[in-house]
Amino acid sequence: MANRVAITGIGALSALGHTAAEHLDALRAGRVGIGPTRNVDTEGLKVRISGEVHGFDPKAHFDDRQIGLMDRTAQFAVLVAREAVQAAGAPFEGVEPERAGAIFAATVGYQAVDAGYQRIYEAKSRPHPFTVPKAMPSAAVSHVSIDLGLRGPAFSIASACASAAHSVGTAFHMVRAGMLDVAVAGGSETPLTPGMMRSWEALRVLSPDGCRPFSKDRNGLVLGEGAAAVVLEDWDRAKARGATILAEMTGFGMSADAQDMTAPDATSAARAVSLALKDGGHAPEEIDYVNAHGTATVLNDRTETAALRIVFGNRLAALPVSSTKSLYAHCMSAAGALDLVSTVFALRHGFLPPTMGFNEPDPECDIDCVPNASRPADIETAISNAFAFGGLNAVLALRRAG
Amino acid sequence: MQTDDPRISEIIDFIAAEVGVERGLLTPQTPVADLGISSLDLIETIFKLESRFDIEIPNDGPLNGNDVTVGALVDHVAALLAAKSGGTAEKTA
Repeated sequence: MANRVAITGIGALSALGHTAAEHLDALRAGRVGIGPTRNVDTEGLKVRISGEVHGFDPKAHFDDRQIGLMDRTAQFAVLVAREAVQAAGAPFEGVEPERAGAIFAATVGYQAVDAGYQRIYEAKSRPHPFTVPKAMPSAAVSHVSIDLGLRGPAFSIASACASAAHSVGTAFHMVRAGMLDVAVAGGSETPLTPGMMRSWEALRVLSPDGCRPFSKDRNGLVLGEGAAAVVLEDWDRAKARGATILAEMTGFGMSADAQDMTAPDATSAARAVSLALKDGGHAPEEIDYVNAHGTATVLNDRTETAALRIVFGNRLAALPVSSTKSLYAHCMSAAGALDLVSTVFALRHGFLPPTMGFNEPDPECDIDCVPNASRPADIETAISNAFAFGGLNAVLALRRAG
Repeated sequence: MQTDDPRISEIIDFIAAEVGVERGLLTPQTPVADLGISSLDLIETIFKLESRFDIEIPNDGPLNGNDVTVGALVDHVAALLAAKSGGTAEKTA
């Protein structure tokens, strides 16, 4: 008999605010964090909006020596990991070192890379000697393990925009299988550099004026920065130590399209959803809410709707499906974790987070996307979708703690 | 650490500030490892010395090792500075 897995802590940092509490408030109020890009010089950029984190001061959280070795994305990862662990109330106390894990989305230290390139190509000088330890995609999880003193399995998973969902799902399976007593898992991403913004622009998937998932007039995704983490814990252990259980993680499904580097595939995405339901022992009729991948590209939202129709059939019309990326933008490697946090809040606080920016129905996205305002709802079971470039899909299933 | 050479004095001050140690506690014989800084800190200090004095400290020079002393560090920077300006540097140790 597999162990049950509890989520006992949450941390979030995004354009919605610096804490999970601010994330919850914004979800409920439908407060959009996307706006004009302020932290990056937008000279030469056509797209001038993003989901930026404002007012973040590293010195408030780290000493100078730590800051010297941490890219912004690692700083974000440590911050949300700390918040999740603090919320969980000393979850690692008394745990054998090898039974405490940290699994975070791989995330490139783009600020370090950008600064290095500027020194090499513009200043014609040497890059900073810490460019490598700051840029390497596993740096964030290393900093989390150092900061929290975690000595068990610690590693990063790369699957583009599904990286955090794969990371949380893997941690969930390890706890459920009894390999770990407790894990902190999530993702972070800070891709807002001139180089990355221009590269995304070149791919022609960015919206110049807003993120409007499932709306007929949607015209692309909005890049964002952020991070989120959860503490996953053996259910009985969490109960025994009197922890507050925020939600139960029940299932994790994965699939690969094996087709195209950018275009998604409905059949394959549907398989990931079905596998998550099967893994969690859920019938499709049990699902009360879907937190969509919902990037607001024409292709994703149409394909995601088709995938959900394959799984849920005609019941889809009555199944709320919303994209919370409409509030905090698409934070890439962190997206799966931020979307998961949004889903946990929906279950715990009994509401459907909205899809903001919705203007007109699209016959190819004929769903209830909870347009423009959150709604109270007594929901029991939900899934969170992550479908990445390169056809890598990860779906997480959750149940209200009860 | 005492010196009459203002240029060397500047180097010592810079290193003392970087590693966060009182200048008076630095001697030429002090191993850098004893300053309570990691090898990574030394690499960053070298990088900052390069930027501050506009020199390039080679990877295969006398600072490449685990038993570098403060004197060796200061002398090497002084020698590179002197070479840049075409003179010779006074040794600290």
